[in-house]
Amino acid sequence: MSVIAPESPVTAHDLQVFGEEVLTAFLLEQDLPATTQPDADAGWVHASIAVTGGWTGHITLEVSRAGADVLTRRMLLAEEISPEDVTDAVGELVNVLGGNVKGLLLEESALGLPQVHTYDEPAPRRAAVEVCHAELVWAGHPVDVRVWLDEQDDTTPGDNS
Amino acid sequence: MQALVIDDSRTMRMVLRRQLELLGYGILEAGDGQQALEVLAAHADAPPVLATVDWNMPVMNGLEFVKAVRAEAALRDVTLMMVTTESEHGQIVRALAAGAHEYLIKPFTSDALVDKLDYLGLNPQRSVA
Repeated sequence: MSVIAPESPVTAHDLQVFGEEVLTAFLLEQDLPATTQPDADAGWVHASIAVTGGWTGHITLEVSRAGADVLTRRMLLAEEISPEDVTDAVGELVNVLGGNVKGLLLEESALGLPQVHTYDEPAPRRAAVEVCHAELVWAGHPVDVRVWLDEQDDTTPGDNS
Repeated sequence: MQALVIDDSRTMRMVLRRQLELLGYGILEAGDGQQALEVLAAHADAPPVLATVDWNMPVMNGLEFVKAVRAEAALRDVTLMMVTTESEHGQIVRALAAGAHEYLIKPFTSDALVDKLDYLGLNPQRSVA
């Protein structure tokens, strides 16, 4: 196993700008709640989307459960939401974020479909090196976004050297 | 005027539904390209004038859907607008070459959507009665 040096045209600044654009595009200012109560103790919602091809890695987005619930209500304009709604809404956020990140990559790559793990379900961990991250705040709720370069197995079968 | 919103994300379908309904559209929905073809077949007598098409979807992706629609003469009047995170120039060219009429990159504002519809002549609020 080896780790490729995280050379990427994507920077923390890019990620910050993309993240803010994504959140504000979906969530108009008038939609924002007047007050919020961050509740990190209730757990986190973790979303990721893979990029494969010339550049292979993934983009993750983590938001508190309370934040994810509020985001989902605002995106769907609904007070009653289900866990499936939260999965879909947070998945769409990481999908849009991933598409923007992919647009900066020099190599031709393909975007996968979003994977979301909510509440008590642990998110799977991949062998990867963090390229950059940005810590955003939406309506008082922390939103953590990261770009990861996946580790690649360059071991050649039969190569004992 | 009816529009078909095709996206595997219910959230995105809701966002587009909201914005298009405000302009005066009636909305049909589909969660992937195959489902969208079935919706079009079910409305063959009066197809929607517009379809917004996500790119990355399970079962049948947006590019495959565009090619399938363009291969069907009865659907030649359906205007296809990609609404996708795929932002690379090469992808845009591929979609337009396949038969998409316009391309809107997520995230987008409602103003950007209206601009595209104005350009296409498909903003019901500006239609001549």
